[in-house]
Amino acid sequence: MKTKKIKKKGEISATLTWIVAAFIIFILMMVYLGIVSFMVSERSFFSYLVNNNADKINYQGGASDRLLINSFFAYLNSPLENNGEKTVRDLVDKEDVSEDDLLKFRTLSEGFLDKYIMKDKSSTENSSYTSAWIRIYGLDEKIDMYGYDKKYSKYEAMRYAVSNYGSYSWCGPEKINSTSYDVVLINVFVKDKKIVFCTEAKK
Amino acid sequence: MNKRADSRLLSPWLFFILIIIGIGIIVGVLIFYNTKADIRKEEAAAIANNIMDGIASNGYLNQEVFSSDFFVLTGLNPEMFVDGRDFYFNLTIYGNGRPVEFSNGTRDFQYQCEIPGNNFAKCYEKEGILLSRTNPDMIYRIKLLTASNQKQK
Repeated sequence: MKTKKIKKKGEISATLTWIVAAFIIFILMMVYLGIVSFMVSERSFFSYLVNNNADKINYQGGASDRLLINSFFAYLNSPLENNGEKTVRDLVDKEDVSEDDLLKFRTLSEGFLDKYIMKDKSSTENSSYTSAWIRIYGLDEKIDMYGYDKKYSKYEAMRYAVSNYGSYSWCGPEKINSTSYDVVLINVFVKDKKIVFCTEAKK
Repeated sequence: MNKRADSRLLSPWLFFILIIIGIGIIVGVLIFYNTKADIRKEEAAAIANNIMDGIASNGYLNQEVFSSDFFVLTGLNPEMFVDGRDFYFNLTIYGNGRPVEFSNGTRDFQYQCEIPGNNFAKCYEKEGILLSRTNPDMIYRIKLLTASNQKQK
C-alpha cells in the first residue's frame, strides 16, 4: 500500500515536471515565432540596413534619383540668359552678385525649379526610398511661400558642402531673416545626407 | 538499473515537448520563407537610373542616344523588355524638333500604374531637363516612365 502511494506520488511529480517544462518551452517557442514575425514584417529593419549602405555611396551613386540629380545639374549649368556665359553655378557661393544677375537668376530659377525640381518634392518626400529632393528658400517671397521649415532649423547655419566645390560658405540665420540680403539656399537632400548650395547677395 | 529514470524519458510529455519544438521550428521557417518582398517600385526606379546613367551625365544629354543602340547605351537587357514580360520603359526627349521616343516592354503597364491595387505594375514617372554640350542655350525636356511588375516567385 505504502509502495503504491509512493509510486503514485512519484508519477504525479514527474507529470508536473513535464507540464512545467512543456509550458516553458511553449512560451519560448512563442517568443521565437514573435521574433521571426517581427523580422519579416518590420520592413524598416531591413530598409535601415539598405539605407545605411546607400548612404556610404556618394550623392550621385546608390539609390540617388539620377533624373532629379541630372536636372539639378542642368539647372546649375544653365546660362542665366541666352548666349550668356554666366551660369547659375557661377553665382553659387558668391557674395557680390549684381542686381542684374540676381534678377536673371530669379527668373531662371523660378522657371526651372518650380517646373522640374520642386514638383518632385511631393512625389518623393513621402516615399521610404526617397533619394533626393530639393527645397529652395530665399528671395524673400520664396521664404514666405515655402516657410522656414522648423524641421530643418538646424540648417540655419548651413554649410555649403558639395564635394565638387570643396569650399565652405556660411549662411547664418541673421542673413536669412535679414531684409538687407537676398539669400538663396538650395538644399539637396540625398537620403539623410545634406548637400547645401548657398548663395547670398546684398540688396 | 534505474527504472524510474527510464519511465521519465519515455513519458508522453517528452513527446509533447518534442512536437511543440518541431511545430515551432516548422512554423518559423514557413513564416520566414513565405514572406514576399515587393520591390517593384524600387525596380522601376533602378531601371530609370540605368537609363539616366546612359543618356545623361552631369546634367548634359549624351548625344549618342540619337544614334547608338539604346540598350547598349543604357546597359539594359533587351530580352527583359519585350511585350508580355515584367518590365517597361518609355523615354521621350523634347528638343527643338519633333519629340524622340524610346519605348520597350509591356506597354499596358503605363495604364496599369494608374490603377490602385497590388496586382498592377508599379511605376516611376518623372520629368526633367538636360542641357546640350554643343549648344549651351539648348534645353531638352525629358519625360521618363519605367514600370515593373515582377513579383517574387
